[in-house]
Amino acid sequence: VAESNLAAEHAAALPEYRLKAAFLCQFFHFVRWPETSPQQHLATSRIGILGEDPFDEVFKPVEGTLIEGRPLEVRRFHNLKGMEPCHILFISASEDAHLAEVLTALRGSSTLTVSEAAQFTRIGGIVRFYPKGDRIGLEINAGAAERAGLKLSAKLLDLAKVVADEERKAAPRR
Amino acid sequence: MKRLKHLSIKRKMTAVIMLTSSAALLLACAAFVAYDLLAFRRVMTQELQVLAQVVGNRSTASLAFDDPGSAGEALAALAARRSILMACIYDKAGRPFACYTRPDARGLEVPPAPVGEGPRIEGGRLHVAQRILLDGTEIGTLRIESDLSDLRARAVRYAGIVGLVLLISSLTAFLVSERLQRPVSGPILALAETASRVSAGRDYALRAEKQGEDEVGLLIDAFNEMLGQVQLRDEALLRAKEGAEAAAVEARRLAEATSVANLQLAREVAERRRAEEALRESEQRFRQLAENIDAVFWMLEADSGSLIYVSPAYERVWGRSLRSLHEQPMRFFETLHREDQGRVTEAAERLAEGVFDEEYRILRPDGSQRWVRTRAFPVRRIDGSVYRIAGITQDVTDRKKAEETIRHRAYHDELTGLPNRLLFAERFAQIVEHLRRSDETIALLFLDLDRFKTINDTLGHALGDRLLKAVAERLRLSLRGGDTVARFGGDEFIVLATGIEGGHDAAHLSEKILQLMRPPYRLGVHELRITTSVGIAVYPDDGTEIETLIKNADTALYRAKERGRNCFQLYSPAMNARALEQLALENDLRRALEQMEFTLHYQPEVDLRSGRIVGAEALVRWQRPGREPLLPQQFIPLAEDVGLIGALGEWVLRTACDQSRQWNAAGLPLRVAVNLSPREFEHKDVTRGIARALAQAGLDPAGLELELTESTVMRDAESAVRTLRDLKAMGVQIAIDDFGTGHSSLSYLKRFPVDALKIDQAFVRDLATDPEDAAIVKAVISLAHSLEIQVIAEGVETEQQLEFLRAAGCDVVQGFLLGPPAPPEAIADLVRNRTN
Repeated sequence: VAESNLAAEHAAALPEYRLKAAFLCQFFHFVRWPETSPQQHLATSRIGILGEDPFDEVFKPVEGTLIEGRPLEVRRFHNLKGMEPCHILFISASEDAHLAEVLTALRGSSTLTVSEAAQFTRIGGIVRFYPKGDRIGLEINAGAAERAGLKLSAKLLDLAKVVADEERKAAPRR
Repeated sequence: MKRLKHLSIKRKMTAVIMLTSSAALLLACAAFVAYDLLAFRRVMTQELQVLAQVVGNRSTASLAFDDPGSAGEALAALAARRSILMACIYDKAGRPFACYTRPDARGLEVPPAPVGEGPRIEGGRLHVAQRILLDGTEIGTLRIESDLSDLRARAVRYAGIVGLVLLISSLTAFLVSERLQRPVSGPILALAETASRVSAGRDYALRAEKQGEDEVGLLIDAFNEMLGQVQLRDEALLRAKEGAEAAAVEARRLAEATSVANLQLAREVAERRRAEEALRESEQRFRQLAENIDAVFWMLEADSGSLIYVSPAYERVWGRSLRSLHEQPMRFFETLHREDQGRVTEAAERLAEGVFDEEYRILRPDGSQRWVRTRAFPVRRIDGSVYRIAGITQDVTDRKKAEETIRHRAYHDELTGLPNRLLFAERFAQIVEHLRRSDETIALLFLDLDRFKTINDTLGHALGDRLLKAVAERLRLSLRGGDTVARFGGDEFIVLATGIEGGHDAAHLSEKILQLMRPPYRLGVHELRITTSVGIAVYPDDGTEIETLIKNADTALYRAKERGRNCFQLYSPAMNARALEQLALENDLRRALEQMEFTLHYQPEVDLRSGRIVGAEALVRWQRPGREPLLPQQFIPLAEDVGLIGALGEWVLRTACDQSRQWNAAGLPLRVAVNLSPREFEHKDVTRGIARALAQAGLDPAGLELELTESTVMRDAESAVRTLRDLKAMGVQIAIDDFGTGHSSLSYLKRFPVDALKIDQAFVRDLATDPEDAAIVKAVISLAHSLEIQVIAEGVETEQQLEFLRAAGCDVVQGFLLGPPAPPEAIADLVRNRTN
C-alpha cells in the first residue's frame, strides 16, 4: 500500500524525491536477502538514510504500512558509527566525498546500497539513480549485488542499465 | 407435393428416405459445429488470459519503477501472436503506460482502461483484461485485444465440410434407398404386372407371387382368389371343347419326348466327365500352391465362420498342430498377444463381409512371440453375395524388428543408448505443453565432462567411448521418474528435470548428480576419475524456447568451467552481459589485424659479463581503439580460440625479422627473440614459415631466437625433438621460456637442441628472500652449463637480484632494471647510450 500511495500521482507531477522514495520502497519486491543475513531477522522492512536526509517528510504517511509482510521503517544515520543493519541504505549526496569508505564498511553486510553519485556503481555500489530524460533511471552493478549475497529479480535487471566494476579487466578465455 | 403424386412408388419412397436422412444429418452437423466453435472460442480466451497473466507479471517492475520503455519491450514480444491487435498497460490511475499495436493495425485508437475483469467479445474482437498485482496491491491493468480471424476461418472451413458431408450422405442415401425400397415396392409392381398380363393374354391361370405376409401379401391373396373364381368359370367353358382333341395330342407328344430325352442323356454324361476332370486339375494346382508358400492360406464359411481349409504353413508360423486348430478353432484367439486381442477380435467382427487387414502378435507354445499380418478377402457367388472368406497370414516379425530398430536409431544416441537431441526436443515440447496451464517450473541441466579430451587423446577413443557409456549409465540411474537425460554430442549431456521449484531445487539436484559422478570409473585395468560441470537454466524464468534454455544453460556451464570445474552454476541474465563483452572482444580482435592495431615492443637482453645489449625480446601489444593497450596474455589465448593465431604469429615473426635487419643495417647487431605459441609450433609448416620470414627480411638465421615455453615442447616431446632439430639445422637459435614452471624431463632437455634456458620470473622475484628459489636458480644454472646451454634470467628488477645472478654465473639478464619493453627507436637509443 505504501508505494502505491506515494506513486498515486503521475510521475511527472511529483517532486524528484517523492519518486525516489517510492523507488526505494519498490526494491523490497525485487530483491531477495540471504536467509542467514541479519536483515532477515528484522521485524521491519528497514530503509536507512545515511547523511543529510533529502526526503523531508515524504516517508511520513507510509511508515508502518506493510511491505512484503513487514511494516516499513525509515532510520536516519549521521555517520557510520551509529549504523544498524538495514535492508536498503540510501547514501545521501552529503556523503559523496567518502563513498569508498562507506562501501568498505558495508562490505559483507548484504545491504542494498543506493546513491546518486556518478561513479557509485563503478566502485562497488549496487544501485544508482540517474536522470534519464524526464524520468529516473536505474544503474545496477550486478557483480556487487552478487558479492553482497543479494538476489536481484531478472525483471529489475531487465529495465536497469547493468554495469561492471571499474577495475574488472577482460580476462583471457579458457 | 403435387409433383410427387405423379411419381412412381419407387421414386416416392426414395425421395422420402433422402429428405429424412438429410434433415437429420443437417441438424446433427449444425449442433456439432456450434458446440465446437464455442469450445474453440473458450480455448482462445483462456490462452489470451494466460498470456495476459504472463505479460502482466513481467511488467510489474516496469510499473513499479516507472519505466514504460521496458514495459514496451515486454509487450512487443506479443508481436509473435499474429492475432493480437493491441495490448496496453495502464497505470493505477487508468492512464495508458505502454502500448503495442499490430503493425498493420496502426491508427487503432488506444481504448480506455478496462473496468470489468472478465473476457468479452465486442465488435468482432476478443477483449481480455488483467489486473497487475505487486505484493497483493493492484498497481496497474493490462488489456489485450485479439481479432477473431482464426475463429472465422474455422467457421468457414466447417461450412465447407458440412456441405461436402451432406452431398456425400445424400448420394449414399440415394443409392441405399434404391435397394431398401425394393422389398416394399417389388411385390406391388409384380402384382401390377401380373394383372396387366392377365388382362392382355386372358390367361386366368396366372397367379401373382406372394412375397410376404404384410398388407401387400393379403392384397395378392385376394387378387389370386379372385383370379381363381374367374378361372373356374372359364375352365368349365373350355373343358367341353378340349375333351376330344386331348387324346390325340397326348400320344404324339409322348413319342417325341422319348427320343429327345435319350439324346440329352448321352450329352450330359460326357459333359459331366469333362467337368470332373477340370475340377480335379484345379484342385491339385491350388493344393500345390497353398502348401508350398510361406504364408498361411485359409478359408472360412462366411455364415457359420467354420474353418474349411488352413494351409500347413500354419504349423510353422504358430508352432502348433493343424489338427488342434481344426478340433478347437475358437482357441485360436488364445494364441493372440494379450494387448492385441481386443483389436483383433473387434476387427474379426467384420470378417463376414470379407474386410480384414491387421498386424498383430501371436504367442507360440515355446513362449516366443511373432508378428503376423492377416489379410482377408470375400469369395462371392455369381449374384454377388459372399459365401466364403479367404485369407493370407504372413510372418512379418523381421520387418517389424527392422522398423523398431530404425525408429530407435532415429531417436537415440548409438553409443550410449540415451535419447538424442531430436527425442529430447520432442520430450521438452510434450512437457511444456503439459505444463502450460500450471506454474510448475522445469530445469535444464547442461553437463560437460571436465577434460574428457585428455582421456580421449591419451588413452584412446575406445576407452573414451566406454567411459561415456559408464557416465550415461550413472546419469540414467540418478534420475527420477519424469526426468529425461539425453546425449547432446561429444561429452555433453543434458538433463530435463520436472517438478522443480525454482533454482534452489535445481541446484540441489545438480549437487546430487555431481556427487554421483565423482567416484572413480573402473574400466578394465584403468581406474579413471572424471569430474563434471553443470550449467542450469530454469523454465520459464531463463527462457521458454528450448534453444534459449540450452544457450543460457551453456553460458552458465561456461561460467562453471571458469570457476574451476567440478561444480554447477545457475544461469543469471548478468552472464549474458559478460558473454557479450567477450563477443565484442572477439569481434574487435578479428578486425585488429586488418586495422593494424598491433604493435611490437622490445625488451633488451643484457650480457652479464660484457654489460652489452645482445638481443631484444619482441612483445606484441594490442592497442584497442579507445581502450587501454592489452598484454599478450589477455588476448593470445582468445586469438588461439578464434583461429587468428596463425595470421597474428606470422605478422609478429615478419615484423620482428624486419626490425632485426634494420638494426643490423644501422650497425646494431641485436638478436631478436620471438615467442612461438603451442598452436604455431605444432603446425606442420612451422619450419617452412620461419624460413620464408627470414628470406623475406633478408636476415641471417642466427639473428633470430625462437622462444618456446616448457609446456609447449613437452606436449608431444617426441615430435618436438624432430621439429627443433629441423629448426636448428636452419641455424635459428632456440630458447626454452618460463623454465621451471612446467615439468621438463632432464632426459629430454639433453635431446632438445636448445641454445638457452630462460628462468621464469617467478623464481627471480623472490631470489633475495626465498632460499628455496635461490637454490633452484643455482641448480638450473649449473645444470644448463653442464649441458652447454646458456641461461637467461627474466624479470630482474633489483640490484640485489642482479648481483645474485652474476655470482651464480648467469649469462644474460632481462627485466625492468635493465629496461622495460619499449618501441624499437627507444631500444636503438638505449644500445647507443650503453656503448657510449
